[in-house]
Formats: sequence, C-alpha cells, structure tokens
Amino acid sequence: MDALSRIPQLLVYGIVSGSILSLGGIGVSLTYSILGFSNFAHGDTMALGAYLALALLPVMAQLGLPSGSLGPLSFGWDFVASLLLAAVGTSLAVILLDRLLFARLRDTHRITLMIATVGVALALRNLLQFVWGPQPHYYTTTIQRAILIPQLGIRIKPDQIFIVAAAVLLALLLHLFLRYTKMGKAMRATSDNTALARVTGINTERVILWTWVIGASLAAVAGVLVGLENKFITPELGWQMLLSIFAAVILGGIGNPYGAIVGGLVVGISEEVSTAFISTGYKPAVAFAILILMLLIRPTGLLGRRR
Amino acid sequence: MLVVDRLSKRFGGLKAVQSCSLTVEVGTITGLIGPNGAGKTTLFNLLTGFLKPDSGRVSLDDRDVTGLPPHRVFRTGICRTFQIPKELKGMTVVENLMLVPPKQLGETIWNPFVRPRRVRRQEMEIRDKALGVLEFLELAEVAEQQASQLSGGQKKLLELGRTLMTNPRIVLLDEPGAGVNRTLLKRLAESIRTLQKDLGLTFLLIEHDMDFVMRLCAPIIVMSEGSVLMVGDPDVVQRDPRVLDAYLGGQYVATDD
Amino acid sequence: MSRLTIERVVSGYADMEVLHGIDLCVPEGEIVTIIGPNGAGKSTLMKTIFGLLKPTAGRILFDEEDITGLSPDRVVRRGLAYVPQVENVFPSLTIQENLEMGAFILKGHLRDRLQHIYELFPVLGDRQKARAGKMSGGERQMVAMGRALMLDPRLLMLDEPSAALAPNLTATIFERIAAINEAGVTILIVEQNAKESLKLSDRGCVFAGGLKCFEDSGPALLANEEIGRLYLGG
Repeated sequence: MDALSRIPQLLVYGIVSGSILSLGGIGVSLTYSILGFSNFAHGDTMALGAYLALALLPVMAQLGLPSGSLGPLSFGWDFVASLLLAAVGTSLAVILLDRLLFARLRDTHRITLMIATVGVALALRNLLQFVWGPQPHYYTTTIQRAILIPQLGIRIKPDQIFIVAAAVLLALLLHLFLRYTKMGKAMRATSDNTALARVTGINTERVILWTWVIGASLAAVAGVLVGLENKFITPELGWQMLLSIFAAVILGGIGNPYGAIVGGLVVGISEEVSTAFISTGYKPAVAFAILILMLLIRPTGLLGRRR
Repeated sequence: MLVVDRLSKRFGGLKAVQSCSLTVEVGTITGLIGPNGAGKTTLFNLLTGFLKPDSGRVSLDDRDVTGLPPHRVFRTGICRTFQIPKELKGMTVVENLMLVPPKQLGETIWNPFVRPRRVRRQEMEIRDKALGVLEFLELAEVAEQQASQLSGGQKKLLELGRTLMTNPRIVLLDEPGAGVNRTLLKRLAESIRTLQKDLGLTFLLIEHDMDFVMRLCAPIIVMSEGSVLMVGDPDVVQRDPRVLDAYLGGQYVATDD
Repeated sequence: MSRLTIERVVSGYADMEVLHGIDLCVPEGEIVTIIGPNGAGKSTLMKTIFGLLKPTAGRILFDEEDITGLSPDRVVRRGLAYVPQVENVFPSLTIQENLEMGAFILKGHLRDRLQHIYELFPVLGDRQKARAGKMSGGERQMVAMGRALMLDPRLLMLDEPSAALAPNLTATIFERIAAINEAGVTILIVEQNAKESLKLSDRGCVFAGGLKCFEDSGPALLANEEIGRLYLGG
C-alpha cells in the first residue's frame, strides 16, 4: 500500500493516541499554571493509575460486577468501575505526595520542585516494577474485531471509539468546571496571579488540592486508556509518553489546559501520520522536532499568552 | 522626525486606535494625554513593534518602521518604557541595566575566550555607566539587590534607567510618574529636560500627572477614542473645552491659575 | 477605638529588612494616608498586614485582636480588604468573575452584593462579561476596588489607587473613596499623588527608610512646607 492511501487510517490512530496525550497534557499544564513547575512525574502517575486499575479489576469481579463485555467493547462494568476507582486512588496517592513532599517545597525555587518531581518519577516507576515486575500485564485478552468503514478506507475498533469518547467527555467536563464553578474560576484566578488570589481570600491550598485531583484523575484515566489501546501495560508506560506529552503541552501553550488538548491532538496525529513516510522508530523524534520547532517559532505556544 | 500616518488597530470589535496621525518633532518633549482607554498605550505598542497595525504607517526620519519586530525597532533608535515595569527578576538591579546596550563584545561565543581583557574592559565601562544611571535615579543603594525585591516605584525608575543606558533617537515613556514619589518626579522632569537640552534627545510621553505634563511638555497631543483630538501648547490644551470635558474634569478649572 | 494598630513591626524579605519597627494607628472610621519616597516600606507594610510577608518582630492588632502572621485568606475573613498597586485584577476573568472572586469565602448568592458594586461603579455594570485584561487602567482600578468591597470589609487598604488614572478619573476614584468611607469603612491609603488623598484624610503619616518619621492631620501635612518640598513635589 502506498504512503498516501494509508493516511486516513493513520489519522484515526493519531486521534486515538492524541486523545490520550491530551488527557495527560491537561494535568501537566494545570500543575504548571497553578503550582509553577513542570511535573516530570506525571507520566509515572499515569502508569500508577494503569496499575491501580489492574489491581482493582479482580476485586470488582469479586464484588459481583459483571465482567462480560459491554456490547462490542472488549471490557465489562468491572473495568469501568476499576477505571473510576483508579482515578480516585491515584488522586489520593498524589495528594499524599503533595503533603509529604511538594507542600514542604512550596516556597522554594521552581527548579528545586522540578528536580523533586524527577525523583518522584523514578521512585514511582521502580515501586511499580517492584510490585508488579517488569513484564507486561493485560487487562483483557479478548481479541477485538475492528469495524471497517470502506468509504473512508479506515478500520476502527470499538475500544478506540470509547477512548476518544471518554477523552471528549472529560475535556467537556473540565471546560464546564473551569468556566462555571466557583472552584474552577478560582483555579483560573490563581493561575492568573497567585499573590492576588491569596489577598482576595481564595484558599490557594484548596485550589492546589483540586489541581492535583484533576491532574491525577485525568492521568489515571489516560494511563488505563493507554493499556486499553496497547493491550498491555508496563511500568515504563508513562515515562515513554512523557516527551510527547510535554511536546503537546508546549505546543498548545504551557499553562493553558485548552492548549494541552489541541497540542495533544496535533502531536498524536503528527506522530502517527509520520509513520507513512519514515520508520515507526522515529515517532519520539517527531515529538521532539515539533517541540523544537515550536520553541523556535512561537515559544508561547498556539494558545499561549505572553507572560 | 517620528511620523504616524493614519494608523489603525482593532481588537475584535473594539477600535483601539483608528486612523491616528501625529508627528513628533526633533528635540521636543511631546506629551500624550487622554482619558483611560483612549488608545495611548496601544499606540505605543504599535510604534514599538509589540503590536502590528491593521493599516497605516510609522516612520522615523523618513525610514519606514511599520510592523518591524520590537528588537529591530529598538535598533532604529526608538526606545520605550512600560506602564507596568518588566524587570528581569532573577538579576540584580545593575545587571538589569548592563544588559541593555546591544552588540556587547561578550555576547559572542568566542570573544570572552579570545579577547577576555577587552570584553572585561567594556563590561566595566558599561557597569560604570549603569551605576551612574542608578546614582542619578537614587537607586545606587539597591544596585546589587535582586530586581524582584524593588518596590513598585523603584521598578518604575529602573524602567526609566533602561532608556538612559542607550543613545536612543526618541524615548517613549509610558506613565513615568505613576507610583513615583512626587519630589523625585519633579527631579525626573528636570533630568528629562536636561537630556533634551544637552543631548538633544526627543521624548514622547504618556502621563496623567498634569503638573508634570503642563510644566514639561510642548506640544501636547490629546487622544480620545483612538484618534487625535487636538495638538497644542499646554495653555491652549488646558483651556480647550473638549479636553476639560473629556479628560481633565471640572475640578481642574478651579485650580487653574 | 483603634481599628488597626501596628506595634513596632519589623518586616521585609529573606535577605533584606525593609521595615525597622513601624508604629501606626488607624482609628475606626477614619481615612489615613501614608506618603514617603519610593522604597520607604509603604507597600511592604501593606503586604505584612495582609499576611503576604511575615513580620520578624512586632504585633498587628485588628479591632484589638492579634492578627500577626495570619495567612491572607484568614485576614480577609477578619474583615480586611486590600487592593495592590499593580496587577490587581485577574486579566483572564470577566469583570463579574473578578467580583465573584472577591466573595470567594462566602457561600450562596451574590446578586445583591454584585448589584451594590455595580451601583457604586456603573461602568462595570455595563460590561460585566468583558475580560478584565482588556480594560483600561481606570476601569481596572474600579474592578480591583469593587472586588475588595465584595465582602463589606471594615478596613480597606489601597496601594496607590490613583496611579495611572486620568485626572477626571482620579477625581472620581477619590469621590468613591470618600463615599465608601462615609458608609463606615475605615480606609488606609498609600499614595504618591498624595495631594488629593491628603485632602480627604483625617490623618497623614510620612514613612522614610522603613520608619515612620512624621504624623499629622491630613490638611496640616498638606500645608507643611518642608513635607511638601521633600515628598509631595513642592
């Protein structure tokens, strides 16, 4: 098959992986805008979410949740429940981490905090490897048949539609939260000007708490969805995506969650479509190239503002 | 020398600057006044390349500078300050000023290694100049402090200091007086006057302190709703009913002597 | 009664002490203006009162209660409000959202309070959905003051309320300040353009080098020639 005729199919893959990158990127962007540092542990937070869901899966089945497949999807209600509980668990873990570590460093330099996140990243990944081992794990071994849409020349699996739909739903919920709730507005205010937010009476510690909860929840969901798309999870899962996520966040304008969504899609699609022309092995290089290009042309990002 | 010809800029539906034409003559201290929201700062942003105009032309000494990026505009000799100071927070006050002169020897990769002595000598000269400027602005005491620790008013002074580090053709000052102590502001007015007389510098300045503007500037350009309402000397402007109405407000008539 | 009492407060930044033992009393219902050269510690005092900086010595009393070192959101709950000098609005939020943030600590509906602010500053009522970042300097100052008034504070602290305002707006802002004061709010102002402010003030204080060096009634301070020459531009 020639390169051009593969593009529609690659676009589908790109949108799927872009959706996941977007969910991951939102957390990085929010952390940056509210707390002021780049969180290099975000990828491993995704992996933590993926493993928590793995651990919860048998528990859910034991509690009597039906594990039979939901329609054409490869998973059942037990998986959906695990996904949601993994988001809660990851949030709790991240809040604990904030209390134990980041809160103590709150008033130090942002570089100190960034390096602390690198430490957390290493610790988390090794913890996962210690508990579950380096070998891949599977949520399900069901083999799923792709739906063929001959008019467009694409095939898409029901699970992939689920991934995109979940990402769209979460992005929409985030938008409504930021736009219409008091805490959402307070988050935007804090991101605008933390000092002013404090003198206004906004409890910035609570804003920070919400930032972690949203970021961690979306990270956990993203991690589980990666497992669903790849069919397996390893402790390296998040770390491997981190470069693409950062490229997406910077592309969209760091600190802007909407930018992260746009950036995620652009990076995801570029990475996949590039495989029509160059070897799949260069995918990370594509993210890198986008990152460098963006920093050269428009360092504030597509939707970024001047600081 | 600075000619603005029918310059326009809109943000969405809002016409911030519309068909604005004005001239700043060599060697003058031209005042730019007008109500808040009249488009004065937007005009400054258009003149210095921070915004691109929708239409119209800006030229300096017959050279078209419309739409050039800020650093190129700076090199043509148009130098500006900001209403809200933009200091480099992580550097000391004196370092903030030392960064200003363009094309320093030490800025290339090789010079510090190949010609260390010349680089150092130039740096010492620039440092002396910066310290002189700080002395003048009563900031000498805080020269070695981090710029982020300056008080609001001191940051305004540092802004002004940046313009004194180069030899600009024209200096645009965006509200030099806001937040600056009035006694010091009076001294600033004197020094602006000195720079104009002795070095032949040209100034275009936005300011709301009428004592300052009326005493220092001639002519005065009044902007309203994005274009020029009138141009005139202080006494003419002060008595113009349109200006009184839209800008100065009633109370000014009473104190006018 | 004294609304705010500052007792020998020493404060500043990590490696730089700015206030070297300030005493100040703001009586209930009065307007007090602090003047002085740049870097004298006027804004630092406001930040210290509001818990953005921790004093290393001294006490701050609000209505006879010790509020020294309380975090800003607790200070707000006690009934103090503060409008910083620059960057005093949230640029990406609309006017209405800015005002809502002012009442963050309240639960329930804000309609009446918003209405009250829009009556005080009609310009804001006309543009509720506009982003604060797109506003001119004068409108921004009104948003900032409106935000601070959302909680009906007992003490309002204003850092240079007239900086960057056109003369007609300066007059308007000071009219509003007088009206707010009439309504029973005690006001502490830091000003460089102090003539307007001192006219309104019951009391004026001069800061220099991190110490209070002079205090008198507002009009008397305005009439003092030496003060005028040193700090008010003669």
